[in-house]
Amino acid sequence: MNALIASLGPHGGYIAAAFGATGLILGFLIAMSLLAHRDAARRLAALEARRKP
Amino acid sequence: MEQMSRPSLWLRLANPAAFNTLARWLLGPLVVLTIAAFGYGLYLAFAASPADYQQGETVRIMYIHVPAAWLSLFVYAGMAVSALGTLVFRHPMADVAQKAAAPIGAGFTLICLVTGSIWGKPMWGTWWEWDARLTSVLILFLLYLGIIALWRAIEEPARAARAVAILTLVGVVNLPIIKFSVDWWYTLHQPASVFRMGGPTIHPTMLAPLFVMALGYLALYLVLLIVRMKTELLERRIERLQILAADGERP
Repeated sequence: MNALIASLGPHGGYIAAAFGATGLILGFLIAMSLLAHRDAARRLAALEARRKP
Repeated sequence: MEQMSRPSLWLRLANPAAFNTLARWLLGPLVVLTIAAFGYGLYLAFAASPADYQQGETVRIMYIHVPAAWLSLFVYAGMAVSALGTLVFRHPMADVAQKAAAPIGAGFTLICLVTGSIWGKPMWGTWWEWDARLTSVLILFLLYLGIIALWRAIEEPARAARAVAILTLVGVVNLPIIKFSVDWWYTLHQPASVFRMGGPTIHPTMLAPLFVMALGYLALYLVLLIVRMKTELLERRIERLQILAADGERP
C-alpha cells in the first residue's frame, strides 16, 4: 500500500485520502440504503403476518 | 368504435406496483453497469491516463471530484422536477422520488467538498477558501441537509412533501450560481473546462476516465434511488397497516 501511494508522487497521500474518503462516503450511502430497505421489508412482513387470521 | 389508448409511462408509474415492476427490471442491469463503469473508470484513471504537466499525479483526484460535482447538481435538478411533480401535477411518486434522492445528493455534494478540499491543499496551499464556487457548493450541501431535516420535522407526509417541494424550488436559484460562479466572480477555482462554449479544453486521454467515472456515479445514483424509493413505499405501507390495526383495536 505504501509503495502504491509512493508511486503517485509527492502528493500520493492526498490522492489516497481523496479516493479513500470517496469510498467511505459511497460505502456508507450504499450500506444505509440496503439496511433501511431490509429493515422496512422485515417490519412489513411481521405486520402482515400478524394481520393474517 | 373508439379504442382506449394505453396510459403514458408517467401515468402508469403513478401506481407503486408498476414502479416496483419497472424497478425489478432495471436494478440488475444498473448494478452491473455501476460495477463495470467504476472498475473500468478506475483502470483508466490510474493506468491509462497521463499525469498533468502542471499538477502531476494530483490530477487523478479530478476523476472522483468532478463527476461528484456534476451529480450533486444533477440530483438537485431532478429533485426540482419532482417538486414540480408534487406541487403542479400531484404525481403520487414525485415526493417519494424527492425524499429518496435527497440523502444521495447530499452524499455526492459531500464527496465534492471533501475531495475538493484535499485537492486544494497541495495545489492552492489551503484546505478551504470562501470563494464563490466553494461557498455556493457548501450552500447546496446545507440545502440538502435542510430538505432532509424538513422531511423529518413534519409528521404528515402530504404537508411535508409540499413544504419540501417549495424549499427545493427556492434552492434552484443556487444551481446557476454554482455553474457560473467561476465566470461571474474572481475565484481560486478554475473555470469550466468540459461543458463550455468552444468544447472541452481537457485532453481526450483525461476526458475518457472522467466520463466513465461519471457514468459509474450516475448508475450508482439510479441504483440507490430505486432502492430508497422502494424502501419509502414499504414505509408508507407499514404506516397504513399500523393505522388500520390501531383503528381495528378501537372499541
